[in-house]
Amino acid sequence: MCAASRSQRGVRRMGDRPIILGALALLLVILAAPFWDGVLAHTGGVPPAIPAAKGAHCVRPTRWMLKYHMKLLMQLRYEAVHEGIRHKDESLPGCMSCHVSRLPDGKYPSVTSKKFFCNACHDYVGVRIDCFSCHTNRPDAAYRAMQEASRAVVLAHAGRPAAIVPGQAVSISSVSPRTQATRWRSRFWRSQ
Amino acid sequence: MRPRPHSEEGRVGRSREEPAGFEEGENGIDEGRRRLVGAAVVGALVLAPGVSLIAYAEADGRRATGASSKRRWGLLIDTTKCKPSCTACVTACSSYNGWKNEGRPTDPQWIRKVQVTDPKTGFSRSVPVMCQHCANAPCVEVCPTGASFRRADGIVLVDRHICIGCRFCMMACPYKARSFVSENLTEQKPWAPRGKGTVEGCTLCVPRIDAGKVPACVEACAREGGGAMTFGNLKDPASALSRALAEYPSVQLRADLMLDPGVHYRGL
Repeated sequence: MCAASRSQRGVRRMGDRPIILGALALLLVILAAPFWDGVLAHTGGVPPAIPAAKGAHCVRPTRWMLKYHMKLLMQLRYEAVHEGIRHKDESLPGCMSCHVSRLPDGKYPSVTSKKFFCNACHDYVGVRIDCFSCHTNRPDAAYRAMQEASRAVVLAHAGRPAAIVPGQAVSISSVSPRTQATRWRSRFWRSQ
Repeated sequence: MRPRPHSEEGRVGRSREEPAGFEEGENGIDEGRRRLVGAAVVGALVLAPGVSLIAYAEADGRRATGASSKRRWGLLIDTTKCKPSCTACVTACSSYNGWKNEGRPTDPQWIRKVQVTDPKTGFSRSVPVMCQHCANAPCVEVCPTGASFRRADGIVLVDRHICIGCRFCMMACPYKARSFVSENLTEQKPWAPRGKGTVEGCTLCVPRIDAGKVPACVEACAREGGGAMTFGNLKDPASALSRALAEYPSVQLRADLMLDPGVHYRGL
């Protein structure tokens, strides 16, 4: 009786092995999810359909923009607001003039619509932005005319890469306004 | 940087000279920096697609470097030429920057016409009042986030990205130049983004200045008004503004507050 039950347990133990190994393998796969996510992201995965833009090319290579557009926007924002350096085409309204176009019904997509350029990806990755409660979200003829009238100046500005090679690491030195404000405050108190 | 001996830190009134060892360290760093800067300059010259464009930008001066402390933008308002009935400057500012004042107490007023009267003599003048772009701006001093700031060329602005809408600056400003946006806005101008929860005021039409134009109010005053406004660089003695200021007496509003406004008035 005792021996029989032992042997039964033994048989059951042998049968457990593939289940345990399978569970371990599954756990490994789950733990490696970030890795697979990265692999999928670079080999296609399920990319969102990005609305087509006007114009021949973007202000930076597309792959670079996919990854770093937010850094570029922060840099441009700091330069324009605090330093008065305004780049032709490189501005948020500049983005709008190429990346937002009329829908078949003749209207521009609303900022909450899935057809709005930024939302195509931002909905996919779960990013919520608050640019368009203040900034314009459509091309503007008057802005365009103003940009065309002002003379184009290409800048080799310190801290901004002169040329960007796709696939190569790029570092943009971007001081956030919050950091800048902290620096100003500490400078102010030191001077007192 | 080598750490300084503890006893030397925090001593008040000490001269800026450092111990000899420290100096050496600094020179070493400086040399390295110089080499790096040199390499960067050479690299930039080789890589830059349009060296002529950079040279051109430097000649142009404004767009290449942005706001420069070599300039200080200012205004002279000749109140003898300012008609009480005329609101050309206010209308131009409103239409260029996209704000509307419908007379409600919370409506924005980047620029407004004020009738000032001396009660003793009855002498009365109508003057436009906007942000005075002070050198010692109280709105900048009170701002808890650094959103209220003074650009290198003297223009006082609000960085609405970091404004938390506390309205300290509105209370600090003796000219009542700032207003608060309390409602959701739509159809803002692309060059003048404005939004709920932030403070705003006259920007001296900073996008126009950066593009080499004069503020909208000055243009409108010359076109439709009495030509009472002169815009220019206070630091350039040859500018029309500096010459006019040197020629005739003028005052700053509430000069007793020692804020050194960039806006001057004649005939008050």
